[in-house]
Amino acid sequence: MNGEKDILAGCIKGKQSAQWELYNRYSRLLLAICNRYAKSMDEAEDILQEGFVKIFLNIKEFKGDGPLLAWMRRIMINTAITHYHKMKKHRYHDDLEEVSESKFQDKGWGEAEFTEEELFNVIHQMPDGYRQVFNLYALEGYKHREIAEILKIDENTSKSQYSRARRWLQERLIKLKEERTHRDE
Amino acid sequence: MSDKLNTEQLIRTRLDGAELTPSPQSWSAIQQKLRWPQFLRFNPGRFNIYYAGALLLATAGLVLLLTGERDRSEPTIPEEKTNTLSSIESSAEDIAGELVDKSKSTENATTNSGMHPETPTTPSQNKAEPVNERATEGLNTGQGEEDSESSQKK
Repeated sequence: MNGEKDILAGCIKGKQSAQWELYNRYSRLLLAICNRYAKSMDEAEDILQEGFVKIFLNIKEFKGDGPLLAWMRRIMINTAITHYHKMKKHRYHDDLEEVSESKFQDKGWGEAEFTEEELFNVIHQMPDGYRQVFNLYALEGYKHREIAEILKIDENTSKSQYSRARRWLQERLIKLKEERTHRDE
Repeated sequence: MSDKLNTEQLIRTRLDGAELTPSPQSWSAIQQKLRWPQFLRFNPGRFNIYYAGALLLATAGLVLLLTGERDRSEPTIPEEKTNTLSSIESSAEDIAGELVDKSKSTENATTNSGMHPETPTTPSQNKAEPVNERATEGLNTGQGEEDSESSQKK
């Protein structure tokens, strides 16, 4: 069972071997997506598991009009957003973190300046609201109107959260770079 | 400076195609979470609640069929008849018990009065005995008083 069509057909029949094939093929890529929306790796794995359960239960609904990965990716993001809404009550105070409003200048970074692990760690530390808006706008390409609808917030809130998220990220990356240079010295 | 990326570009280029290996427990956790919802859905290739229901119905039908056949092959006595039979049996036992008790009591009575134990006695005789004794006692006493009065007159 190598072809995606065979795997898909097997998954529709509920065959465990086909489900395993699909999981084995895409779980690493999808976990990295989940990890961008999560506060920790454990939370990312919870989202991944929930997402795969939805994929296997609703695989009949995949029409095949686009790539399977794009469909699965959308399910993972929706699951991550649902997870965020569930956890929102407990983490309300996180969104109130102050970010300096002045002297923001977009800094240029070298592509290999930070490792993937470092970038994931910085994203994990981000306030939840910033993280969701940043991911949806900068990485998924949603518009602020759509983000407002998805996250059940005002469109202007989405815009302000996004600009704050950018500042927050830049400040953290500068700090990270400074810490690294101090360590090297 | 054209190779420099802003923050969004950096995150996008470094993390968009990134891969992370899930823990080995992740797959088993998915399978565990899938078990119940898959059981509740109809799928011709998997044992599910519909097959379980059909199996249960078939078993119940088979049991009913087998018990029905057994009932037809073994003739049974109606409940009312068995009740009357048992009541007759119990009343016969009671009567037999009473007879034994009475025969024992008559045996005792004959041995006390010096009568021959083999002489037949009726139940009315047994019951009347103590009454007769008392009556004769009373009569005797009455006769005694009359005798004393007549002797005094004399």
